[in-house]
Amino acid sequence: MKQLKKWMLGATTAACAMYAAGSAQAVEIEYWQYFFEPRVKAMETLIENFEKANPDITVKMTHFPYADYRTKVAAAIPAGQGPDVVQLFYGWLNDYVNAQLIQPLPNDVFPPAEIEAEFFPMVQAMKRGDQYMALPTAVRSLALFYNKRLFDKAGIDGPPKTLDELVETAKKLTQTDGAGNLSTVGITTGMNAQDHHWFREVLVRQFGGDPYMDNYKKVNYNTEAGKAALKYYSDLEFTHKVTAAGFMDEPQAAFKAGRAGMHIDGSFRIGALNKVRGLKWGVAELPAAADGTQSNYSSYWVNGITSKATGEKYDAAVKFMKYVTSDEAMQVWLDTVGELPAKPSAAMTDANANHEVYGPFIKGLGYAKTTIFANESGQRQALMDMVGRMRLESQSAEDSLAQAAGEEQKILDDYYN
Amino acid sequence: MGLLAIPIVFYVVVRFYPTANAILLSFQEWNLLGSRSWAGFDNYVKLFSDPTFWKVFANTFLYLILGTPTSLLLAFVIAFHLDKLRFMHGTIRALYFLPFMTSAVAMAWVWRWFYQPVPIGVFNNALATFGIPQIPFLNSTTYALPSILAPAIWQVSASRSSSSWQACVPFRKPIMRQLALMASPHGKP
Repeated sequence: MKQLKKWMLGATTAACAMYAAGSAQAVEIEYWQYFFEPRVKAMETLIENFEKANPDITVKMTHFPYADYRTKVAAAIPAGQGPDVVQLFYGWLNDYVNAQLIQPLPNDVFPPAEIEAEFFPMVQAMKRGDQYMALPTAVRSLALFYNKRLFDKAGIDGPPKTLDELVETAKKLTQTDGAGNLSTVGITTGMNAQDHHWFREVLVRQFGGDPYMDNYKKVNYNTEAGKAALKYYSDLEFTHKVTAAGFMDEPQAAFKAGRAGMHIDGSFRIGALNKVRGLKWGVAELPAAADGTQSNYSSYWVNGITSKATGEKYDAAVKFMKYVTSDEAMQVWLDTVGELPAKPSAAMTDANANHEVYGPFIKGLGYAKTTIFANESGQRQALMDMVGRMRLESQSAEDSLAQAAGEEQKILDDYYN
Repeated sequence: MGLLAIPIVFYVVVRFYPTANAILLSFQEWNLLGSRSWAGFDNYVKLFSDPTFWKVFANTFLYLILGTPTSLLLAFVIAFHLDKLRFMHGTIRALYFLPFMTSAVAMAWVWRWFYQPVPIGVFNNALATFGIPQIPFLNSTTYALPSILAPAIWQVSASRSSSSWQACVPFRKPIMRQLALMASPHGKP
């Protein structure tokens, strides 16, 4: 017993000494993001590079499933726990600022004039007063992924250029089994995935509408243009029968499994698709309307310094922020995740714009719109329910559209008033 | 006395405190991030004036009305026959009680997979091999309720037949005789 006590005392003393020595040498900051494998990999590379250049700083990354992410951040920071640098979706900024979870970036290291000259204009939504609250490493846009093998098999020579061509192409790609069930869909469908963005910012505009008014505070798609857009979208499933919701559980799963001819998704899918063996896929710009109108949706995740970071941790966090928003970090992010650099100078290079995979996304960025969400998941749910009611309760497109517009307007009113 | 402290602490921390806190929260407004403020009965007014709430309420009621008697009946019938069964008595009993041991979350995922449309769903793939068009088990107002009742009844039956069987050891022969008498088409056990 005595022996044990002596040993324990010794061990504790040694541990304390090591801890003290360690903290005198290096400052450790914590970084949080949600789990998405390519993003975690990219961040690991960035941290490694950063630590090499700053041997006195270590960065500890923690990641959570997307579903728990916001709750954990909201619970941890006010309790003085959790990250010093945190990743958040651009649409969450108001919540984070109001709850004082993040603090402004210092103007001497991140001069607003420089940010405005260098970053894509959509990043200006991150400014509060005369300071930036957060900055992205990368931005994303949508494009049409297509399965080259299925295209060859169906004798189609290239991806559709217009919305009408998309319907015809999807019909040729669709396959059914002996019982009449869909075994391969022409195009995936699902407002739960990226289609709600395709509907809002792309289809509604292509049919001549403007999905929102008053800086995204007023829903404006319950119009003739909105009806035409919803008819086009829902006809794919209910009239042309070239797709089915829930087919292979998730749209991207169907495409990965080679059971979908076409799939609309964001540039962040590139990294995951690159790893699928045996899948030959290509990317094209989203199809244009009959009159040539093109549109796209762009979005981004940002990093910010939390209110928890003070003293030497704050200084380390600023250094880390500077690095993850550098051109070098943007290139790492592009190579690993497939998300596009947040600065036109880095994104719009000839090599990138002509790249067979990045090219269509980068061209899309040029004419993309960024929805300002009050509550992204709630607003998405309104559109999921819109198509769900048509499927399950045979509600007419007109009625369902009007109801969805009412529900989304209520979310916006509750938020802004 | 000391041993009792553990379950008491456990129940207070894991059950009573969260329940009390949830009741308190139902009278407050909170977005997880900011501070809480009192909302009176606003949340309840919102809930009761939401047509979706009443639909869910009716569905839950229907779920219980159909599920409870069915699972009770099944539990008794199966327990009765399992007890009589001599062939591989232990193995078959163990297999039958397996769902009771499985976590509901894991089971829900497996059944969700069973119900998926072609080409991944087990049931629909089986139907398709016979040339029968698939059934939208979970994606239909007609089939969804019976579809989610089936695994629930299955699991509840397993747990009930074990617990009811253990609980009524002294009475089970006479009870079962009565039950069998009522259920038997010939009027004999």
